[in-house]
Amino acid sequence: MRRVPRSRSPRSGLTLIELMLAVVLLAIVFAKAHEALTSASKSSGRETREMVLEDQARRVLRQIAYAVMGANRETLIPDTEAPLSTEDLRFQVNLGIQDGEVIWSDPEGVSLEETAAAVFWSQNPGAVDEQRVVWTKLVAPYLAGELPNGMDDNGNGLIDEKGLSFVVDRNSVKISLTLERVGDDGERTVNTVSTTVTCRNLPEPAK
Amino acid sequence: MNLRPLTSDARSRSFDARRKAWRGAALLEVAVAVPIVLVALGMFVQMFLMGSGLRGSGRDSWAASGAAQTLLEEMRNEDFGDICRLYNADPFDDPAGPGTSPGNRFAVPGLPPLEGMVGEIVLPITNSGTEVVPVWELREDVEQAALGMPRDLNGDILVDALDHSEDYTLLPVELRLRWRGVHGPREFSLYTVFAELR
Repeated sequence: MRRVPRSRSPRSGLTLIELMLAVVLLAIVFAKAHEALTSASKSSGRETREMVLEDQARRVLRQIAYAVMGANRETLIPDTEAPLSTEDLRFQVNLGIQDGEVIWSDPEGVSLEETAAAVFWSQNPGAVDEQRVVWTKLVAPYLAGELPNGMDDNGNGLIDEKGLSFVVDRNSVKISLTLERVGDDGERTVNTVSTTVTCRNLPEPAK
Repeated sequence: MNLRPLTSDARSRSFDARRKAWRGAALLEVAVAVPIVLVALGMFVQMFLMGSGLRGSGRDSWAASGAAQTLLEEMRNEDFGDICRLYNADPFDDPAGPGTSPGNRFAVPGLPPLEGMVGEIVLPITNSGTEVVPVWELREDVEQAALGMPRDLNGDILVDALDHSEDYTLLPVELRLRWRGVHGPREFSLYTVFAELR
């Protein structure tokens, strides 16, 4: 009987070396794909957290800005100018004029409560009938880049400013706010927003 | 049951048939499949990039509008009669001495300028002098439709060709910002009119 020569045919399958190569290549491809997907997923999660925090910071900043805009400049307490700042601003709003006299609103305030890391608006602050509305939580203890060391660490001209800070300059108030959130993965997201508003309310009835 | 052994020819035909059945993809098929996969992958990646770009673009727009609003508030904080001299292009008429005012250009942190600075403050001002010796005047008769000009600025019900930088009661302002965005040059403008309440 004539022996059929052993030659590679389509039925012969894969050799061990081909199999090993294929497995190694597949492993590399899967590892890279997994790495890319994980990275994309983390990046997307981070961006989403940043966007949500930024959106919240903007919304609260706008809320504070409108409150201060409607205030009367002469009623701002304390009247803090740079490099000092305050995290507790009180004011009154001129509601109108009756018989030549200005009608003032109850005292209002926008403050930072450090223990709760919250910004709240209050009516009659400090009084027994004080009413509070929390506008946001997640407020950082200090503005981004600032440390409690008696120096201006973040170069904004203010010393040891808190996560919510007000600086009065003549008729305008500069408002800065830093929110921070720690994600499930332990990553810290920080967002700082800032604006300046001028008190619109006139100190006296227009003549 | 007939178990005749296969002849050499028959075995060869059988292998050929199977080889044809298992021969894998032809070059043409691969050539078609690869571009399709690449196009699909490209679209997928582009979708991600566009999403990221849109977020960046939205952030830029917010930074621009926020900077413009903040500057308007700072302008509002100045004495009304000084606004024109503080924010025009002429450094020699600054209230606190030459070169002490912010001028008509401003930077916005985080926005790369196309050229010079990102922001420009446009007032109804015209140069009635020369390029070498400019004389900047706040005029009622300048043609700036975006600012609502020409119009009466000092409340005398007349539109004249005089300089009103000392007696204006209305001051139209445009804040124009131009920067290099993720998808090319971007522009944002904000218009307002400052008025002196009497």
